[in-house]
Amino acid sequence: MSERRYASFLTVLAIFGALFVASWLTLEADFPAFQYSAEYSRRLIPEEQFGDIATLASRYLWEHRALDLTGQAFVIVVAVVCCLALLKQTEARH
Amino acid sequence: MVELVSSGLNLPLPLAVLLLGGLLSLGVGKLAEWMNIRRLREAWIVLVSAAGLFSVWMLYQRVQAVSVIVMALWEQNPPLAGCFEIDMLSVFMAGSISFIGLLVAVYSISYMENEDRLTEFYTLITFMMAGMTGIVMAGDLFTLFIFWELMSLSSYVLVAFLKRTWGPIEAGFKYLLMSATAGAFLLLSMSVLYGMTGTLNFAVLSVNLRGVEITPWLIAVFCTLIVGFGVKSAIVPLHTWLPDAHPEAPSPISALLSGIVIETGLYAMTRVFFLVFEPGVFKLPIAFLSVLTMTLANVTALLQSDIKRLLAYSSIAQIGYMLVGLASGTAYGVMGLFLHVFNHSMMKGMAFLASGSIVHETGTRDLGRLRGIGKMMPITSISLFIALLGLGGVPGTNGFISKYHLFSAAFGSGLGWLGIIGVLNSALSMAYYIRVMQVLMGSPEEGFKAHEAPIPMVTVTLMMAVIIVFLGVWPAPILNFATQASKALVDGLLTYIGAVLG
Amino acid sequence: MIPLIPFLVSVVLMFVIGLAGLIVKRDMVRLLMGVEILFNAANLFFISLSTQSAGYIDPFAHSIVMMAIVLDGTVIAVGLAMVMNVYKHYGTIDIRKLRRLKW
Repeated sequence: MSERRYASFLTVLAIFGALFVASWLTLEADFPAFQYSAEYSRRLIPEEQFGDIATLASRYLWEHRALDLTGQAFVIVVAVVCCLALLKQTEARH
Repeated sequence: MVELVSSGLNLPLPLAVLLLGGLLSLGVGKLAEWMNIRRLREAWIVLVSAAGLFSVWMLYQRVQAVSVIVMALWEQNPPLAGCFEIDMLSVFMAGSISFIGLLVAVYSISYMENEDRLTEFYTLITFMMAGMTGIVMAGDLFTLFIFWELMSLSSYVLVAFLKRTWGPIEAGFKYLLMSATAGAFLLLSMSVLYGMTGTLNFAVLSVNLRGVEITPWLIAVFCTLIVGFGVKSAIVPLHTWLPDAHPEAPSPISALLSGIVIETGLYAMTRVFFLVFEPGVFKLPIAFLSVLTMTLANVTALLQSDIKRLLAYSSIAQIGYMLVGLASGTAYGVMGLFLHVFNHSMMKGMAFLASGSIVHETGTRDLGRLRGIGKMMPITSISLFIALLGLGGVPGTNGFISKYHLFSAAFGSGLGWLGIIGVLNSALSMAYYIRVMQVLMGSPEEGFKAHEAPIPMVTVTLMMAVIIVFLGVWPAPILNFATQASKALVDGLLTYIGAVLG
Repeated sequence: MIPLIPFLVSVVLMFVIGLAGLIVKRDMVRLLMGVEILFNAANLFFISLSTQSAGYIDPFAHSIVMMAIVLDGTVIAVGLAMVMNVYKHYGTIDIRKLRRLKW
């Protein structure tokens, strides 16, 4: 077989293999949803207040995840500096 | 014996210093551009890394008094909130990061003299170091992921920094693609872990998931974690970005990448595996990956003719040796692993810096054309010689000490075949190190002239060579520190969990 | 309680589609789209898990997803800036032409 045919055969094999493993995992093995969870480590919001769920969820974000939000602010600053470094058009001062 | 700090805005001191230093470095760069002050940016980054190293020293004093410090923000307590959890292992890694960061900052004063966009360069180095410090101090998987992306973003652009030629751009794009895929795999594994336990905090995950029976979904988590952390740590089927990225990056960045960025990926893998799985689960797969990594990297390095590419393949092989320590699953093996992390950062960092000096002076990376460089650049060549001896594991250098501990840990934990393969690989690697040494000591051709590198570069390489020999002859202080660090990870697991859960 | 199987099937399908896109496609922008699909598969899994407790929702998963979307947006932004630089040097955005660094 020529090299291109060989490569596409391997690709098809890899994709079908991934599909097979993934579908076996989904359909045969039950996903243990929250089987190992503990009460003290979660805070849930009851579903009845339908109109207010968005406010309550975002209040959770600000009240309990402020550290990650601070880190994310720094990631955005770094992304801006990265794009500046990649797209600036100056010449080297020799 | 543990300390919970959660009032007001407080970050661990090294992290705060590096993050603030990085932000202010943008302003300093603008100032240097307007008022045309030379070397202001370089002075600022040396100041920031020295302050970082000093604050790691202060943190070490504090962590020695109490075993674990948990830091949260604004009265938001774990396990619902993200937190930092600092034990002796975090201090060890933070010390390695700041130390080699300081040396690389001094080196790049004269290496990057004639480049433009220097503000962005120094800002990104500071943020990369801040990201790595955040990873080693994280107490929650999502905090680790945020700082992981901080480190990765800076490193993509630093690899592709010299964008005037095509090499760095190609290497940088391939690196970005593979590493972003790994980040997606990491997020996927985090979602499965969340699905099983309802939280992402390290302590709660450990209490709930350690020692349960192995279901197919847990094996899926294990595989996606290996892929997610393994691309960054260059484990073998996932290593293909490294031989392109490390040579094409500027030499100080190659030293940082090979020296400490890939080892931070290995730290994250070690931490998560020891918390979530029992050692019996991951011994054999990691041992298999270790053999594959060592052998493939050593064999491919024998065929290289480019000095930086040879050193890049050697980095992959050294990661293979470190995986031997992880596969042993004991505190002794983990001590060997982290001792080798520090020693490798010194040796490989210095090898890349010395070959960077050679490339800076002669303009070529090809081993065939560098014959006889030893006579014209004596101090750099002696330092490179010592680094290569250390990488091969010759007695008298610190490389020998850490390899000895790694392989005897493998013998001691029932994986004797792994230790034997490791020793054989170490002997095989001397073959290509001797080839580089022959090039250094040969006789130069006609018309080949080079003079010694500038003072900052020579000083840094010489100092690192002195450290290598000194730690090889008297390893007691660093051995003590590494033992404390590994005991905090493996034996001190209950203290770690108890710090968060009270 | 909403059954988990349909969500799980869609997550797994998105995962396989993303991986297949990364292997098969040769246009760099499409490769970056494949990475984005992988990230979104993980985000979908987080959200679908937050519906699993009967009568309650779990806002932890929503917070994580809100931050993860921003993070992978930044990765794609830097990737696209790099694609622009590649085009300047190679004149094409076909990844199979990037073979100058070999062995």
